Amino acid sequence: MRKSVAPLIQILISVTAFIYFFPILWLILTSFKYEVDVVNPSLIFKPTLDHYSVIFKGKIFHFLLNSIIITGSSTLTAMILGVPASYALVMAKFKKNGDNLFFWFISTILLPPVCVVIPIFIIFKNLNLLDSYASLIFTYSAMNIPIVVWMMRSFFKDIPTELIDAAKIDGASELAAFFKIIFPLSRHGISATMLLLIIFIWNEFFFALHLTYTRAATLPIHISTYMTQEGLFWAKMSAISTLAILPPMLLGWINQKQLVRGLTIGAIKG
Amino acid sequence: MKGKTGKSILTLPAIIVVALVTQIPIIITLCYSFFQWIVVRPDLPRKFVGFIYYKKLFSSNEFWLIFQNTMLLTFFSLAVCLALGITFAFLLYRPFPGAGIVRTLIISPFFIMDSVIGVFWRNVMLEPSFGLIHHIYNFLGSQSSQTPALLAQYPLFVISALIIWKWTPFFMLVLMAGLQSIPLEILEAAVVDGTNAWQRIYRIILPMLMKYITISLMLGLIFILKTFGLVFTTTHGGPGFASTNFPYYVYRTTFLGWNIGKGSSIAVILVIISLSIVMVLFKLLRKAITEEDV
Repeated sequence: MRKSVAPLIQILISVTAFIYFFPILWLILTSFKYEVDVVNPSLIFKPTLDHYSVIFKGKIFHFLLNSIIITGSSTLTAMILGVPASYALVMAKFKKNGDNLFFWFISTILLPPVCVVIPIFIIFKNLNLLDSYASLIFTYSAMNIPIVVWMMRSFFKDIPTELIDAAKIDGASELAAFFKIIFPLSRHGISATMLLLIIFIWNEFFFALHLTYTRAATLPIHISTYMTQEGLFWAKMSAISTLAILPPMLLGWINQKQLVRGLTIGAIKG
Repeated sequence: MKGKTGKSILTLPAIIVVALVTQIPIIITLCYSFFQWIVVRPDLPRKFVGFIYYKKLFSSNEFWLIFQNTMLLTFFSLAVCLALGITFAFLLYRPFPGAGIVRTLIISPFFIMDSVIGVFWRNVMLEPSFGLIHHIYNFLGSQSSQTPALLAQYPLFVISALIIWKWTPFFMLVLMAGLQSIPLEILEAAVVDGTNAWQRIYRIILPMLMKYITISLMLGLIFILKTFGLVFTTTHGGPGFASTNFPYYVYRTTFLGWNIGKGSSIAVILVIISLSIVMVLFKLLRKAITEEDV
């Protein structure tokens, strides 16, 4: 019954997919062009790596480093706070309250960030923490804990409780049971969650725009101000953009299997 | 019993941190919305003004234009995303040689940061005198007429197109998961019973897909309602207010106009709109989750 697709449809969908992807391909191609060739739409051109070598010499490296530090620290913090919380909520027997807490966590993901940014901006300003790593790392960690709690919940629920009960009967402590049984079994869930967080935080624009200027600014902010500050250097801008989009795109490709579960915060297993 | 309290303590740090950046700021925003506080006008005292900003907003044309923009942007994008997502899902859920590559190509725009999408499309793709659109336009044989400046003429439409480009993969992925969850036996039984393809789609596939469609619509709605980066990097909400949506309106009022009171009132209105959507979503999610747990 699940017969393979007719060849004509196969060709049609392949062409559609290529057109859909084409702007990204065009961006990557443009990054290898000399600035004079950029306005020429020809696919044949003399390639250059100039823009990439300039990137690693110039101040762009500073923004790249900021992005890496902030994404890494926020992801780790969110995981460290979120995974135990999720585990406790799944395993603890306060079922009714536990469910309510889960829904409280999710309600915070769903609210638009503009609704909280004004007080957060004013508080960080008064603490003299604007344009610092601390302000962004704190905000990103907190914003992503609910995603961790929800995603891990769906993975922890997959683990049969008999396994944990058996370990306890054998005399293992809670902690030992977690590290010896739960952790190895939910390894895939943990890595999938981390990959998703890295993608979200790396791409985050809204809070970075409000809470940073230059010192702690991340790549998305630099790219958005690039054209007004540096003028019409499309090829160079494309090179920075290519560099900025490759890490999340590669992680997304690798993570395809768990993507649906992550994006629907565990509601659909995919 | 000891283990029980021990475990619930594990949730405490997470709850505190999340409350600090979400719950408490929302309450503060609500308070700000009742105060006159214009940072760039130190001559005006900071004072309690009650519902004045809300009254002013509801009676201003600007507010209703932005309301309309937000709804158009959100619901037009959602409808097209769903239609395209279903189409792609139907074409891609059955394996064929190269299906993996095709799927990978289609989901790619979803991982691209908004600022790159905005800056790249505004310049390299859509710039009327040098962008790719200029060459496509010439190639199609309209040498004489000028390439239209799409972003200036139809800003809302272009932003919507970019949202669709980015969010269709999300719908496709969720709906593909839905299609793959339908047991083959049911479809085979339907074939044996002599149904035709349309009957199978309407009577079996669509009803079984309903849960997936509602979840993707609800989450898509919430995410698209938040759209900010694309507006910021393509049009800055302009020309005038032509492409301003609620999130950008809050930004413009609060961080460009420095009117904290008015900005907060708009944010509160957006919270109310989002909360009403979230309530419906909760009911659906609860149903989906309890079904799955059983």
